[in-house]
Amino acid sequence: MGRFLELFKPISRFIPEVNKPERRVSFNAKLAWTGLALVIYLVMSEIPLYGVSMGPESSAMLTYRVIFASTRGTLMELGIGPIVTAGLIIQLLAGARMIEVDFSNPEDRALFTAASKVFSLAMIMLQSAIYIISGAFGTVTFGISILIFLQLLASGIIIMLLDELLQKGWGIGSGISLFIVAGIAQRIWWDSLSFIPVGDGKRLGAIFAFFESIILGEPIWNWFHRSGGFPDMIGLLTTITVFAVVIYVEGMRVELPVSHSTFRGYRGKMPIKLLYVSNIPVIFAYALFANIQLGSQLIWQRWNRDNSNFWLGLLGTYNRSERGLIPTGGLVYYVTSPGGIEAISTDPLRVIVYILIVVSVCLLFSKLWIEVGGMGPEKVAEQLIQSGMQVPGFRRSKGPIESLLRRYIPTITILGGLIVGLISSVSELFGVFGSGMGALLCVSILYQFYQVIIQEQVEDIYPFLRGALR
Amino acid sequence: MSRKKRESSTPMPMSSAGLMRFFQDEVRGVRIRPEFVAAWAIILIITVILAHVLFPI
Repeated sequence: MGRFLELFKPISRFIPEVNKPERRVSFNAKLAWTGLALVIYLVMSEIPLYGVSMGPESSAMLTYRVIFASTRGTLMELGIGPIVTAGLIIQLLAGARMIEVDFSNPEDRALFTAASKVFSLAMIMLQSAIYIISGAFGTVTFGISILIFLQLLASGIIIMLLDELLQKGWGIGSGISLFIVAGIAQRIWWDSLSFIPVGDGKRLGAIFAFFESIILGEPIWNWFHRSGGFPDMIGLLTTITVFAVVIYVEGMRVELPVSHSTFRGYRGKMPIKLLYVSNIPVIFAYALFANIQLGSQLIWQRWNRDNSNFWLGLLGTYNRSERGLIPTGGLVYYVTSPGGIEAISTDPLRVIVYILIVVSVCLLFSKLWIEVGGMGPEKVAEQLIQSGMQVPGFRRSKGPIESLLRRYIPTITILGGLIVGLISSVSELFGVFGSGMGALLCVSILYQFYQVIIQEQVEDIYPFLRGALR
Repeated sequence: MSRKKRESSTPMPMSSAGLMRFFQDEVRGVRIRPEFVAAWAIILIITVILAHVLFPI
C-alpha cells in the first residue's frame, strides 16, 4: 500500500468523475460521443478568452502548442498541458519509486487514478496562475485576472472530463490523443493549403507558394525552399516521407508463436512491435522540453531580462524580437527546434546537440515507461500465463517465457526509442508541417484509432467474438 | 491477438498518450453523467461568447 497514495483517499471523494456506461455503447453512439468531444474541443480553441489582449508569439513556442494541443489566447490556451504534465510528474515519481503503487490491487489503482486527477487539477490552477502572473495576457487588472483564471479553470476541468468520458467507454480512444491529432491535422492542412498572403509576398500554403514561384519564374531552388520559416515544398515532401516511414515502421514486429493451453487447436501469434512503447516517450520528452521552455521564459522575464545573470543564463537567454522571444543560449537554446536546413550551416553544434538530447531523452523515457507501464518481460510473461497462453516448446512457467521475452523487449525498447527520437528531431530540420514530433504523433495516433475502430466494428457485427477479442 | 494479453486478472493500464489511467476501478467521487459534461462545455462556451458581446472591453 502506497503511503503517499493514502493522502489522496479523503480528497478522492470530492473529485468529479464521469459515470461508466451501464451497458455496452454501440459503435455509432461511440462515434457520436467522440465527434461531440472533438467539436467541443475545436469550438473552445476558437473562442478568445474574455478580457485578454495578445501580442505576437515566437514561433519557438510551436512545440509547446503542438504537444499540448493548445491555441493561443483562446479557452484552449492551456490545452491538455496540465493533464499531460501531471501525468508526466506522477509517472516520474512512480518510476523513481517515490510513489509505491501495487497495480494488482484495485484499491491502489483507483487511488492512483484519483491522484492523477488531483495533480491535473493542481496543474490547471498552477499553469493558469503562472500564465497570468508572467504577463502572457498583457497587463490586466486584478478583477480581469480572476475572470481569466476562472475561464481557464473551467475549460481545463471540461477537457479533463471529456478525456475521461471518452476513455471510460463512451467514446473511441482517448481525448488526449484525439485533441493532439486534431491540432496537428489542422496545422498540416493549413500549412499546405492556406490562401492567406504572408511576408514574402506569396500565399502561406506551401502548394500555392510552389505554383506562385513557378509563375514568377524564380530559380528552381526557390520553388522548393522559402526563407523566413514559411511552409515550403521541402516541408510538404518531408511530411509525406515521415508519414510513409512511420506507417512502415509501425508494421515492423517480432512474432512469437503462442497456443492456448486448454483450447488445443488454438494457435496464434503474439506480436512484439518495433515501436513497442510507440509515441509515449516522444510525448513525454517534448512535454518536458515545453515545460523547460515555459519555466525559463517566466524566470527570464522576471529576473534576467538583460541576460546578465550567469547562472540563470545557463537555463536560457532570450532575444526580444518583433516575432516574440527567440532563445539565444542556455539549455533552452538546445531543446528548442533549431529551425530549417539553414541551421546546419549557421550553427551545426546546436543541430547535433538538439538531436542528441531528443534521442537520449526518448531512450530514457522508453526505458522508464517499460518499467512503470508494466510492459517489462516479467510482467508480460506473467500476463501470458495468467491468460492461459503458452509458447510451444517452452515450459508453462514464468521463468522460461520471461527469458524468451528478455531476448526481444529490451532491444526493441532501445531501438524503438532511438527511431522515434531520430525521426522527430531530424525531420524538424526539414521544416516538416506541424513539427517532426507532430507528424510522428499524428500517424501513430491515427493508426491506433484505426485499429480500435476495426475492433469495435467487428465486435458490433459479431457480438459473440467480443469475449474472444478482449 | 495482442488483445489476449489483456485477459489477465490485472487489467493492463490504459495507455493514452502516455498517461496511465485505470478507469475500470472507480473511487466514490462526485458522479457526473456524460451528458452534463457536454452541457457544461456548451454553457461555458455560450457564457464567454455572451461576455464578449455584452461587455466588450
